[in-house]
Amino acid sequence: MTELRAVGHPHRRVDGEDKVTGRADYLSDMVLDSMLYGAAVRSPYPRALVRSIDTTEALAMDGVHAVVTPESTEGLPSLRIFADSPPVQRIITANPNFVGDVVAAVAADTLELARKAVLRIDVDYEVLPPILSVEHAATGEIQLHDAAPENRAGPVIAIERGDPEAQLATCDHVFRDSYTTQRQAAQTIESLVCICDWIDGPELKVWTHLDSMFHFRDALAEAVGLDPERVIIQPPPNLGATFGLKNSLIAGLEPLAALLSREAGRPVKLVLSPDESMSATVTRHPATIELVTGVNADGKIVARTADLVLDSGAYGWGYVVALSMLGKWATLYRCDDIRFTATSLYTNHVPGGAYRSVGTAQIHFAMESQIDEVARSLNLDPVELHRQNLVRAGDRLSMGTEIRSLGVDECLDQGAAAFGWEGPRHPDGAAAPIARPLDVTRGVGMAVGMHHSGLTGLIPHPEGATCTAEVTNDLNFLIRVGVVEKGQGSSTTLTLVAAEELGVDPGRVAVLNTGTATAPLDYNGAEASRTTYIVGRAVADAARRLGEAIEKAGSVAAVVGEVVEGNFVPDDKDPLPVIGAHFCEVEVDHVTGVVRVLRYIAAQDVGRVINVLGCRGQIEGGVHHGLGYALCEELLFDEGQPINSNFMGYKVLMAADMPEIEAVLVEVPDPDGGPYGAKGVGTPVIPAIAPAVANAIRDAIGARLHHLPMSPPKVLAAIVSNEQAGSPQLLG
Amino acid sequence: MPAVHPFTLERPRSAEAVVQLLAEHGDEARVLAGGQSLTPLLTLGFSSPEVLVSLDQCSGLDTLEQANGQLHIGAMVTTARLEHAAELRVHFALLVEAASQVGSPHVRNFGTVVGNVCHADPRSDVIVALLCHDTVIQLKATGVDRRIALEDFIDGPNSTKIEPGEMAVAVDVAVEANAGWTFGYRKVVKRAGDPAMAICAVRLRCENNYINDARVVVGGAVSLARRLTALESSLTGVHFAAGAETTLAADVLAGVESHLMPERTAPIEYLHTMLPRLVAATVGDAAGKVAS
Amino acid sequence: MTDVALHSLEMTVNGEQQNVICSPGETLLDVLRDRLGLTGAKFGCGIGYCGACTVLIDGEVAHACCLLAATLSARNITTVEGLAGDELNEVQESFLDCGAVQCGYCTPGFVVSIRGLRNSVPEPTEVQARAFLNGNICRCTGFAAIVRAACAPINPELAE
Repeated sequence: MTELRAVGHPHRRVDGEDKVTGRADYLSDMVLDSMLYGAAVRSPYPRALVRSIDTTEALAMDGVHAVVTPESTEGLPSLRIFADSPPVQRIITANPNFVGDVVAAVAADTLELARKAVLRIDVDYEVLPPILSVEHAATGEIQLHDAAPENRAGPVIAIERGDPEAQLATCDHVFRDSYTTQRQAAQTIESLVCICDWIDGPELKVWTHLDSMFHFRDALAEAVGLDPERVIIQPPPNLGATFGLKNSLIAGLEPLAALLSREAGRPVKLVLSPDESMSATVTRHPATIELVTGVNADGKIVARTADLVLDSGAYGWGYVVALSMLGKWATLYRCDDIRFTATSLYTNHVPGGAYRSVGTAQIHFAMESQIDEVARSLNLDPVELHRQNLVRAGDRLSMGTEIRSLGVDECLDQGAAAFGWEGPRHPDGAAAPIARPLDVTRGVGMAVGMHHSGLTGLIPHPEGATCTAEVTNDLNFLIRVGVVEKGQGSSTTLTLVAAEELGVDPGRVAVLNTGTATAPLDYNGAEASRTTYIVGRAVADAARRLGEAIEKAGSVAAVVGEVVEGNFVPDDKDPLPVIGAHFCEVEVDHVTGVVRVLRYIAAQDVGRVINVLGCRGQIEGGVHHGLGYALCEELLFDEGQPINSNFMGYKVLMAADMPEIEAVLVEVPDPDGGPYGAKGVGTPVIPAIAPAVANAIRDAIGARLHHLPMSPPKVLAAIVSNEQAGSPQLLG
Repeated sequence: MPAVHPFTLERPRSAEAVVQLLAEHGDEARVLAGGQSLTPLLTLGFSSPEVLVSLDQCSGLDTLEQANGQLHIGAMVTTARLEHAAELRVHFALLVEAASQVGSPHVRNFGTVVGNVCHADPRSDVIVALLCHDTVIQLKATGVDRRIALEDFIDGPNSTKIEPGEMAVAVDVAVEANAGWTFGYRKVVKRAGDPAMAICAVRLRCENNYINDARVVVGGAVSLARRLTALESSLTGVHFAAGAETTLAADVLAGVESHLMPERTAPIEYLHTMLPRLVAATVGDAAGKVAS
Repeated sequence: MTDVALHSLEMTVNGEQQNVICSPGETLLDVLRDRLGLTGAKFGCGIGYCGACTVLIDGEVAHACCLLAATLSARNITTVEGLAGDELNEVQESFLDCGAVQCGYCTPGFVVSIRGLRNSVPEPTEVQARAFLNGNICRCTGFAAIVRAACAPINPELAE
């Protein structure tokens, strides 16, 4: 591995000092001249018809400048998230389909006034019977959207290869299991805010939380009936994270603020409360997953089927999430005889959207739990069973790309070594100690996770990025990019890449994003862990060319003002596959069912470490989301009403709950991946976590949980079942 | 963002002035001590008094003192002060432990012990601990002072027998004459810092491994925390050995069944299974601390 | 608009005497951000869970969103802006060295909380640090680097 001077060495974040001193401004801190504040009127019913809206009282209030209603959206198209998504969502709707769906909105002098005005808007609803489960959606008794027959959120995703049924009939063992996963919410600490300034008629300026600027610009332009060049997206000075929440437009945010601004003739800042930010944006798709896996006695997997139903909420991503699930499920294990069927259905809940590791979190919980059960049944070490069956470099991905680099064995080896893995502590069949009811028991588990870096082949728009590099008047270096720094550290990573290529101290490099009007094109932005890989390659290209220009001109000063372009377009037809192997130890309290994760090792193939603090931080932060998914996070609804959409009721783990985490940065460079062979890390870290914990709990209590989150009541119920099945010692 | 419902804020300098204001405004007034329970309710619009009477300028309410056989906890004594009162660990180790478990340091620095009692949350740490002692709450109104036992004062979730015009000025906890008390304290939370899903506080006085006296309190997913008196009787005179916990379940359930408050994330089956185990384990913790 | 009586009070904020005029319903966070222009403390949850609004009051940590400003006369308030002089405070330096900052929205709250912790426990253990942070939530870092920063040994050159 070549020795590098900037890349791979610890480096303070370029925006760190502003953040630790409180100088960093966020959207919540931004105030524009003559700015108004917006608030939404939201349906209190999961499904209803708006018969009439009386806005007279609100409009009469001093300081209220605009009110918008469904009439304000006349002539505007219904929103269609992806090419094959039904166009089902209105910016402001007369047919609300979830509690929180926007039926009107107000712009006023202050936020307090806007919220008061919301209460003075009188909406007459005709309450309709809602669909509150995918089972009900599947009956077709009610069709929620005209454009979505059978309540399908896009096409059923189905593939079949070989003859799985024939294999299942003849193989040595067949495993049939069902799993369910829950609604997980991003719960960013900064609630979503956006500022829209629809200036002088035809131009719309926007500051908002977002993952990608250009893709977003086009979607917003279409939504509000403007040409894309007329929409200018400005990156906020700093962004309080998204975790993928803003991969696509949220109807009740930017389009709504835009309409308010147009109506008021002034900039409008739409502020979501923490409750709205959780219950009225998007969440991870809940899923029901049935897996059948046929295995021979030697551990070879010979047949696999998967049947899934995804709950897309009122307007969610649906089939695109299923596609992502298919990609990982079909690739992770080598098997010629497979069948996959996934149906995505609309229900009257908050829409499902993107959330860190789209689709793969759900499917991995199921498949990595099942493979662990297979290992236990066959009395094989799960690490060895994985080794025997996992995908490797040289295999092909969904669109046919041959995998150049995939650190499967490296992650298994390095992760196992860091953990001190010796197999399950309580293998089935061994003389396991019978736990007494007040005991605390420990167990260990492992799982593998695969996700992608980049969006090649997953979306219609071609993958690729451009950027520019130049020497500034003070003889330093400026890299202009079109990707947003949303907190994950991309500006620092790109700074290090440029500094390495230019052979200069990173302190002399600045990375700047000036908004869609002037920034170089990077269509897909900070999504699917593509920044280091795709934008990084473009930055490396531009920096290299600038370096060549400097060499040719004879000095840095000679090149001042010359803007050099860089770009990268991947040759592959698929995104980069990224793999990780995780190992964990848990302690389960048989008194309460509470699970404590004691130790967590995440061995992730990052290709090449560029920003070591950032890389480690992304893994540690990802483990937080994954452990929450495994143990305690769930957005709950009662008859369609969100009941815990706040920081008290929606539980994320606290510092005292978190285990010791070791991030093992495995480097298996991809020769045509990111700079120096780097791959993504922020999303690929997620999928292995929930199954690793599930497998450790299985080891600790002798029973397997199939439903997320693995909360204390579920754990205790499993413990008690096991006691009653096997243990003579009962309480009471 | 300011409170949804505007109110007048009074900052009287004495308890007498407080109760005069309460008498004047009746139902329209609320007392503000540390504000850790009340302020979020105000800012979210869930509580809308016309008048808020803050105790922040009141003299004479911040005494924390063990004297004359009582631990006196004045109305403005913060949970943090109790948490850090090392000298109280001799007779009030359970109380100090419970105080240290309340929420976060932020909450403990301002939240008051007496305010916590008056908020009467069934999930409260300090209430279950106080119920394991002989505890009395001192109430004051214009011209009237009265004392009421804590177990009689709280009568439901967030509900007490405080009368209009009354403020709570202090809580007094009796120092027991007999030595040899040990305690157990277990709190079940979904994540650190949370209010308890279930909470058990136990005080035992043992001699030669026989339980002479027992106080067992369960809080959490119940309508109010209370002592399990039938269980306490069962335990008295018992020779406590490992395994004895298996006999407790029926008494535990009998003591809590009538006022369990299951919720989505703590369903009834869970409470039925977990509570007996929790009590048994906590009793075991207390018994295990007895020097043999 | 509301017509309740405004309160006028003196408090010390980051070492400077401030005369604050506010309505009874304004929280300390409202006053700091909207009246005093100190936007370092952030609005996160508004109900005392996320800790993005953490300040020190007479040296002890508090959630500014859960305190009415008008009850805080004569108190000594320290916000994140008051921690750094010309140089960064040692806690801030540790945060940068440990990579404890990602999106940064929770960072002022954590920096102030940890400053509060280290005022009374100069070199906390990991267990002490984690327990102390029950009133602060980070959604980016998994708390790992934050706890490392909290427990970092005192740098004699930087310690105050």
